[in-house]
Amino acid sequence: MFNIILALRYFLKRPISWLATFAVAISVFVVLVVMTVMNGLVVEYTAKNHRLVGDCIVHSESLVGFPYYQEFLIELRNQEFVEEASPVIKSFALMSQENYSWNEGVNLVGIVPQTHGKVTGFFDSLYRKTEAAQVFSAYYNPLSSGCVRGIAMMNRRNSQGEYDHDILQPMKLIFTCFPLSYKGTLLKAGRDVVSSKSFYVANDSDSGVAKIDGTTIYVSLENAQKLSGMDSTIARISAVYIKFVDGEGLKYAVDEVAKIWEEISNKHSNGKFVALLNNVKVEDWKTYRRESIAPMEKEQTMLTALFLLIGLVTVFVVFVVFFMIVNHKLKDIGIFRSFGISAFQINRLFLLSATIIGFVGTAVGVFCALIFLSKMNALEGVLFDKFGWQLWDRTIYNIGEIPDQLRSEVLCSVIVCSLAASVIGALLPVFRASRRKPVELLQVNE
Amino acid sequence: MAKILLKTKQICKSYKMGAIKLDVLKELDVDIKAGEFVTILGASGSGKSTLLHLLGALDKPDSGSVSFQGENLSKLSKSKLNKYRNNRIGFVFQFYHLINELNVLENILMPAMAYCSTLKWLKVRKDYKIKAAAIMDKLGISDRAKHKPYELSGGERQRVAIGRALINDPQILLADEPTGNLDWAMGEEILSIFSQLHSQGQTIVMVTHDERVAQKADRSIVLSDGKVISA
Repeated sequence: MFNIILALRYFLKRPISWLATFAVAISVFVVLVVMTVMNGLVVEYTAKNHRLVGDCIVHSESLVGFPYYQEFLIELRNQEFVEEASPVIKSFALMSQENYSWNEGVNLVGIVPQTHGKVTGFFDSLYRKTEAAQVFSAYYNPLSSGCVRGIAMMNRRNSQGEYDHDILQPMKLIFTCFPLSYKGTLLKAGRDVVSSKSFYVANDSDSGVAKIDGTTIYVSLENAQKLSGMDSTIARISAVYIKFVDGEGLKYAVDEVAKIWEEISNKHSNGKFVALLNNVKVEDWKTYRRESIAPMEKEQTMLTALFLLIGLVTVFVVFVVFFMIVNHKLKDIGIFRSFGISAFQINRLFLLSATIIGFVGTAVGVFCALIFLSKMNALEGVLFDKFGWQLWDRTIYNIGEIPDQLRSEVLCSVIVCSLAASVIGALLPVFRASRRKPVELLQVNE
Repeated sequence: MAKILLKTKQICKSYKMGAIKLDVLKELDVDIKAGEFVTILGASGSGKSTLLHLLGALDKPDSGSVSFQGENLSKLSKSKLNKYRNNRIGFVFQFYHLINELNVLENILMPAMAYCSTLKWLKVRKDYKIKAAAIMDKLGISDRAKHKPYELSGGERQRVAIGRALINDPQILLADEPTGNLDWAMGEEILSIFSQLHSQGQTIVMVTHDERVAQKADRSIVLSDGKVISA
């Protein structure tokens, strides 16, 4: 009982205790806000990469692709764990505009909108919402071949993070490819070395992944196949994107897909296209997009390490404060020992004080962080309106609102770490003092 | 014949001051009988406070033994030593040593509270509050119950310290120059309280260097250079 009364009195009557509480509150506040924002960005970016390709990708690194995809798709669609599978062609093209002299290298992606939209978040990424069948139909010329641009290819973002673009104005783009045979040689060497086709811009796609949105042009699978030469000798594609039914274990489903592909590959192992089959890999989306996701995850790991340092600083601050508190209270400890209070009870008293500091500091820090996070975007808006200042310049960074959703696991771990840091910081000075002889403690400052 | 409560046998105590070893107590034999009012007299540095600390188990002798009712204090476990300090003896210090964060009543109750769990304290606190009120009444500080130590005069603070020493009904009251920090009038008031307690059967051992104080005791143990020169 005396522990509770004294711990509360020490907390309320000692301004230095408030200092420690303030230090804990600031640490908790900073960690929660930065972790929320950075975690939000990483989670958002990872989700965008997931939406880009579906759950599983069967792909060839070779520019000539791989054949037998039709029977592979039939087999996949017969599986209970597969929700949809969609063929994709990836090639390179030179993009130019009719009546203009500029040109630019682009990634040409051929898709089947009906299935691609079910596997990926492609439909959600479109600027002009449309039916699957109308994806490649230009608003102003529905019967001609159309293409979908990556939104960052020709458009600039304004300070609000929105693209200034108009897809209602007719624009005709010409794509030129080098069609390749299944052996990797130029398909029509000596005659029509290149194949070109013009497309009206039908739509823009904003996937949220800057590298994709800045370099990719989507056309129909059929057109892409012709342009890249993958329709010759035997029809080929670059990849199959697969979406699994909800709740299916990713590793299990990917392994099953790998088995199916292996069966098809074995079935044609004596054919003349066997070399193309050997280039095919079956990967889950995280592995396939690792080059894009890994740097962000690395950044997150570094951030976590940095916040461990903040945690250590908090422990040190609490340690210093408790060193001072305990040194100021050495005589009190001597008095307690003189009327029979044990070293254990004294440890408990000061550790209870530390817990109160940790608890109050954490509560204040969490409260302030919740308030700040809820007002953060509004605050940034005000700062931008009045002073033109933005945390992330929206003309450069593809960020909408700053992530402000505090995750419960982050909150719980910060609370636990903060309380632990407060107690750990107090341990050494308290244990050191409580083990001294009562008579020594009573003579302090006399 | 009164029984012996505290007994020291050939106790020695020395302190190291850098490279120099200072022998404070040298083979000291002292008996304290139940109901006695004994003063320990001596010049500054004669070892009287050290002897009191050894009697109160705040420190241990280098050699020899201190026994309470025949039990060697050096051989007691830590928890038994804590209990000895808590309810066998009561300490009164020259500089009061009160807890500034607690009021008078709480300071007096602290030794009692220290040995109770929260639940037990909730059961017994009423009895202890009545007891503390009686002690404060006897010491003339009833009207100061809610005051903090820094709001009291020196004499009042010493009364609070006496009240705290008495709350667990100790068998011996150990006082280390309780009037040393007070003016003459206040000192007289405090001494009269000790005399009153002694008349009620309380065993008291008081360290002092003031002969005037010693005259109020049954017996004086005079120390010089770490040895008893008169008992």
